[in-house]
Amino acid sequence: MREALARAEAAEGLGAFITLVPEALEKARTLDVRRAAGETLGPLAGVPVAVKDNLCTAGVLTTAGSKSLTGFVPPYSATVVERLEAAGAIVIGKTNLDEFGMGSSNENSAFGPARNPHNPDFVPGGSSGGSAAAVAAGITPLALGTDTGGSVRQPASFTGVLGFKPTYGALSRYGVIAFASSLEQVGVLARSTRDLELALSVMFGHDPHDATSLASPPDLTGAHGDLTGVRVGKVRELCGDGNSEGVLGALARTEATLKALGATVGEVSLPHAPYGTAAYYLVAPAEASSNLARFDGMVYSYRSGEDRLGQAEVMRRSRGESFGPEVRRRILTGTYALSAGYYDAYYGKALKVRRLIAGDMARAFTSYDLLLTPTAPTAAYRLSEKGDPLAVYMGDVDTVLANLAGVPAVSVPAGTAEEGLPCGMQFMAPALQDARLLRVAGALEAAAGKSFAPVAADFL
Amino acid sequence: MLSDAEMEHLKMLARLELSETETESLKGDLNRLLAYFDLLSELDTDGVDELARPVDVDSVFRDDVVQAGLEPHTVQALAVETEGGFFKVPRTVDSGE
Repeated sequence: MREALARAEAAEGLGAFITLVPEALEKARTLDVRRAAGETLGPLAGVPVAVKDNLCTAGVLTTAGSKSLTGFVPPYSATVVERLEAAGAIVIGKTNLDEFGMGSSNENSAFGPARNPHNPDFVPGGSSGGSAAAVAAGITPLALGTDTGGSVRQPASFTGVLGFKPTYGALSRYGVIAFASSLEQVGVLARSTRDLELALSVMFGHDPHDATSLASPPDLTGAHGDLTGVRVGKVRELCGDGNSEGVLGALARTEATLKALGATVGEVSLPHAPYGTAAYYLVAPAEASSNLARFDGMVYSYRSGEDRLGQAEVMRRSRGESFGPEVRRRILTGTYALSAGYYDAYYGKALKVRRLIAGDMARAFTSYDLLLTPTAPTAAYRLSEKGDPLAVYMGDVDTVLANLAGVPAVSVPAGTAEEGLPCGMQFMAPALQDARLLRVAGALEAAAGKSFAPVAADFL
Repeated sequence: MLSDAEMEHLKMLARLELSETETESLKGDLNRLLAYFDLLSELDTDGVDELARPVDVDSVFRDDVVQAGLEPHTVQALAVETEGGFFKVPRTVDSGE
């Protein structure tokens, strides 16, 4: 525990954490005493974990990467955090993120960017960039993130670790600061499949506090075993020249490994996949514009302007001053898509396309056990390299599909692509078949001959 | 294309105050996004049902049993402004001063 905190402090330049929790040391000592007294401790006893700062942690500052939550210390913890702690895990810090989870590079944080441990000139991905950086740099073996359109998987790919988004409803969203409720799931970042499985197994289970939480969670009993006879479908629309050379090379290597492990790899079409990004960037902002309406500076959250200005003006000023550029952009996009006269053409249309995409995937899963795509079309890019928001959105083309359809997906490290930077491959499974993803990740990890090691970072 | 008037209306609906420069820049972004979203009009979606959430949730009602909640002082400690146990918000009615 001391080492984890020391590494986190030494790696301050990474920007991985917004808040550290020094009390973690005391908790670890208490566990040591209980262990010495012969008590049986939980499966994660004493394991340091990092938690994305849009998950509520009782008594610990929670910012969601936004100025609008200045000084917010939640009186309760998210169910997933509570369950990890009940299993003995100890939260050492709250990780950096794009404001409210809106972004793919961690550059949209009110607390400055997080950086990629493989090369600090590059982004760690986002929005769970701080969580990915913490795991990749070996600060913690596990971190929680949230994944609304790829926010766990894409940073996992950019930093060379595993990133898992479960079936929609498998993990409770109680205590998650909501961005797009029909799309988002809590996810886990780790360096070994075993750690992933352990974390998921203690967090799975119905939560009466979350109406969308599944009555019975995915069964993980099939999480182990070889890949003999497993049918993998490579998604034609996403495995072509939209990807960098380096990513295509990693895809070819992964395909060869899968075959060597006994899987069959075929090609499958998801004809509506190329429309996924457009549909996602209507649905997610629409839900965001509604979810973020609560940050109005009235009862809670940042308030600007004097009483005499009246409620409406104070509200407008508070929101205008406290939201960053990307959040404003999405609120306005979502407001437009939902506004009178435009609903059918934008939000309604996007929901119909969402149905078509879910249908494509259901059909593909009648012939294949798993679908394979790169996690992102490129490896990490340099900070400030992408100024155009649309260019950033296009990088989510592979990951948004699983959120639109509610199916589980994992990003597995697949070696390096451009400039020696890592990249990952994404596998998707039918809803509730999360175990298949752990199985393929475990098999690829074993084939690589080692766990996905932390970066021997020279900034430490 | 969004007109200036539509942009002002949108800012009002979203309760966002923005400077002129910010407004202009966001209007540009929005217009480019709307042009991109036109991609979806290529698809014939007649007769397709909207998919608003990926799993069906049936009844989410629970039995009406009293449960423990947060104490009022805990919740009020998080508020922007309180007075005498009440939340204090900016005035809502213009008194015509």
